[in-house]
Amino acid sequence: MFRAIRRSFTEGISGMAKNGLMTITSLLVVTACIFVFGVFLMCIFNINHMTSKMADDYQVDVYISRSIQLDDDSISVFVKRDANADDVAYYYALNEIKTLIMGVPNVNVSDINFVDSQTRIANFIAKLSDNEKATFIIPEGARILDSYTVTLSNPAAKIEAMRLLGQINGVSEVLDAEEAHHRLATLGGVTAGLSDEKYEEIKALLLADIEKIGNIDVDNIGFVNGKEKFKKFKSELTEEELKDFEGLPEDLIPDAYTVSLKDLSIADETIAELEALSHVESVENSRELISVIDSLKDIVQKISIWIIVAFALVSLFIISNTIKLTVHNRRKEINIMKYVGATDSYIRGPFIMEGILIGVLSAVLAFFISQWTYDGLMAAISSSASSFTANLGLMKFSSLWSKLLTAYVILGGVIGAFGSSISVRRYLNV
Amino acid sequence: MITFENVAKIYDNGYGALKGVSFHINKGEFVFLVGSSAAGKSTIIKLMMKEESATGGNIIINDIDVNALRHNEIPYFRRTLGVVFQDFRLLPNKNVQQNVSYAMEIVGASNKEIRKNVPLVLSQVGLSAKAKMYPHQLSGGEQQRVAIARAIVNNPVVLIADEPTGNLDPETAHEIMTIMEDINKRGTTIVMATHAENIVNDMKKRVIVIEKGIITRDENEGGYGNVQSN
Repeated sequence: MFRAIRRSFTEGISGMAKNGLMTITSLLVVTACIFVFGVFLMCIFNINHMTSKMADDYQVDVYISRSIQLDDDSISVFVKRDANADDVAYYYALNEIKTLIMGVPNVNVSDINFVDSQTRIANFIAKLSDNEKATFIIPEGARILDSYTVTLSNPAAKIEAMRLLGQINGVSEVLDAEEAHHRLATLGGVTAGLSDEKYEEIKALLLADIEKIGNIDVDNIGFVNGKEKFKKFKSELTEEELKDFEGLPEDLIPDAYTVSLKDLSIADETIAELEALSHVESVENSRELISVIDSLKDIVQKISIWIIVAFALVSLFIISNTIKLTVHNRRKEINIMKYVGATDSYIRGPFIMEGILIGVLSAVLAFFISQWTYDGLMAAISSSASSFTANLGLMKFSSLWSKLLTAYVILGGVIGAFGSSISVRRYLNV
Repeated sequence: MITFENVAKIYDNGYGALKGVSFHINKGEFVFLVGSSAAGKSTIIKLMMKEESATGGNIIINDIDVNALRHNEIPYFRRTLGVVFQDFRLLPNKNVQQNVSYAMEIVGASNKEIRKNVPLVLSQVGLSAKAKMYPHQLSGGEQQRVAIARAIVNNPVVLIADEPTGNLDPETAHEIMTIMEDINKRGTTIVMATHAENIVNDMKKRVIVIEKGIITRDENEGGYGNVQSN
């Protein structure tokens, strides 16, 4: 075995030496082909590097909603009460308005109930925690109107219906359930949104819900305090810029959970799942940028496949022709070997070895050219030194050379072996 | 040792080279294959070497059904045969010794065997003194002796010679025949295709005459006789 390899090796080298110019030509052509292949390979390496870096940095912010979710689609239509009108006149006015509400074109009322102000307040207080019940006080002189609570047969048309109902003569105001709730809370001096204890409860529930989603990396869930984030943001602004933010509530930015995904390819589905969770205000992520780079990667990969095929064929052709020359020079010897009883593989050995040597030598040459080009390019980029290119996260040659060299040598070797075996086969049928 | 049974060979171009040839050669025999240029001698030799395949009949050599050989078995089959050509077919860039040892290297002989056998066969063909010379430094007869040495160095059971004296003068041809006879006496079966009338007549060996793809005569201690020549 060892003897056979040594023999193939020495005879392969002597074949290369005898072919002189042809060997040099094929070396150069194959080197050029492998180099072009390498350019694409290096692009792919870098794009892969970028995407994996972005994937590592990829984060989804799940903003937590602090508002009460009443799960109530009804509309409250508040009715004006003329201070001079007596109960009877008011009663008639109410009936008239009810008729008008029912008669508004394009507003399909499925249910309508009269809610007087006392009932409304009682209902509101019933929902409060004990602490809040103690502090809830309607200030002296504040007036709360009676209302009709209207349920629509088509809740999607709520906004338009509210606008139309507001135009009815005798209607003071039209609010949806949450607005009405908010109004009472403000009036009574309790938290308009969720109470702190309720909010903590909801935060814990939301976290549990997030953890139930399969694609979430459970060990990597972070929490960002919205108030602190806003404070920090403001602290980085100048006096001038700060003026724009004057008077804004300090809880402008909601709290958020920051989560990482296990599998980015199904990020869209996961984000939809997150958005569907209750008490989620909004979900933000950098998905678009990643998908742009992903499609770039796709294009480069598709092009590279064709480039590799085309240049592999050129290399195959030139190596096969070079070996054909050697085979032709040694056809007499092959003939004698056949008569003496040499096996095909024994005859083939030196030619295959010559092909492999040309391929591998070209690969090594191409590797040094690649290194030289790559380093030159990197030097040019870093001397232009814009922060954009610095942030691109291009790979250093030292971190990709081993992969590159392996790919080159395998490609060169396989093409060389294959190219020469094409040429030898014809001569073996003696 | 060698049996041809109703062997036919029609080439791809439709030319019928052999039209039912039968003969049997025993171990240790020395047989001349005689005939004109296109009679079918070369075809018989090519079939024996499995360089061509018969299109009909059976060929048995050394108990091997030659027709049934698979491509990868052919090299091992050929190692049981030695072959000598009219044009010697030596490697010009190898010296005498290397040309012979080369045949042993190919079949995977050990260095020890090579060192032992090569000088032996060189002395058998009388070339011990010229072991380091290159083919172009040798006469035709000497070159053919190198070729014979190469053919027998792996101890073949059959030595096939295709016009081995065709390029040589009568005296040299005679020397070659002496060596061939010597090899035959040591037990190797020899099949020799030839045109050389006087050699055939001198040797008084078995003669198989083939004309137009058919055996017309097969006799022991025969002469060249009246062979149609063109």
